[in-house]
Amino acid sequence: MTAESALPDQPESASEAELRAELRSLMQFVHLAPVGLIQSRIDGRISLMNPMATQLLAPLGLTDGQGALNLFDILDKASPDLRTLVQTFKRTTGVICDHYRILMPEAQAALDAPVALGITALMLPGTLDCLMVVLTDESAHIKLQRMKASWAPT
Amino acid sequence: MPFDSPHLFDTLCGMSSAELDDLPFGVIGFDAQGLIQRYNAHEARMANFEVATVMGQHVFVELAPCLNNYLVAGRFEEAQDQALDETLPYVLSFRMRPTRVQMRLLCSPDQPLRFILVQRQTSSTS
Repeated sequence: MTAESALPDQPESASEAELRAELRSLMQFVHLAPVGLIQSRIDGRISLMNPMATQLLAPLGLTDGQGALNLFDILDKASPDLRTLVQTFKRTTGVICDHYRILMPEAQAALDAPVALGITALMLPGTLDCLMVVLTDESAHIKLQRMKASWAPT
Repeated sequence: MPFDSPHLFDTLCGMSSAELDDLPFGVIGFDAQGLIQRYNAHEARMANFEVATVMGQHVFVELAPCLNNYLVAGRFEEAQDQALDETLPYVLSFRMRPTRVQMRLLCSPDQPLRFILVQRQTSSTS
């Protein structure tokens, strides 16, 4: 990791202080978002991600290995579908998938780990080679479905 | 004092703020309520936070909500009255940029402070 620059020696102007406060507020806002937010290149290399994305992808081995993080390589452990959907998407902007659900491998998961994820992916307008992905924890929905299935008359 | 020293927890508990500042990895010490009591210069420099601002904040709510999950905060909760010394790979998302780190979680029933140690990897992940 590259070290962040040290705090400036010179006193900040009022506008700089205001910008810094706004940035901190915005960062906290995204940090606390209850969905995973990821920005990546079209080949899957992750450039930005929030803490919930880290948490949701951790059961898929996000923290294993070295070097750059690749979203498709991580998701391959559950499903290669997103990679295929992105590769076959022909338009330069638009929604690639909306709440596409994948089941997590349960064998190694911790008790509190998600059992299913919803994936929304889109190409952002006005940008090149930029994929925006929203991850949601679909565990409650899946667990409810399983409970309902167990109640069904045989 | 290396990051993986086996007796690091006891040493940390007896260190002054100046001694903590000399360590080559991040140190965050917090009490049973989660309020930060120790925050060394290395962590302040790498995270670009001022020590005075961070002191007294809740570690998992205010400083690092990215650690408020079953992987980190949950491990301290599970430990309860037992000792914890666990090192795990983690991805921090400081300013949304994924950063690989090694994180060491330390607590002991006979010490008032718990510690999270953060060792950044030298290679860039972006």
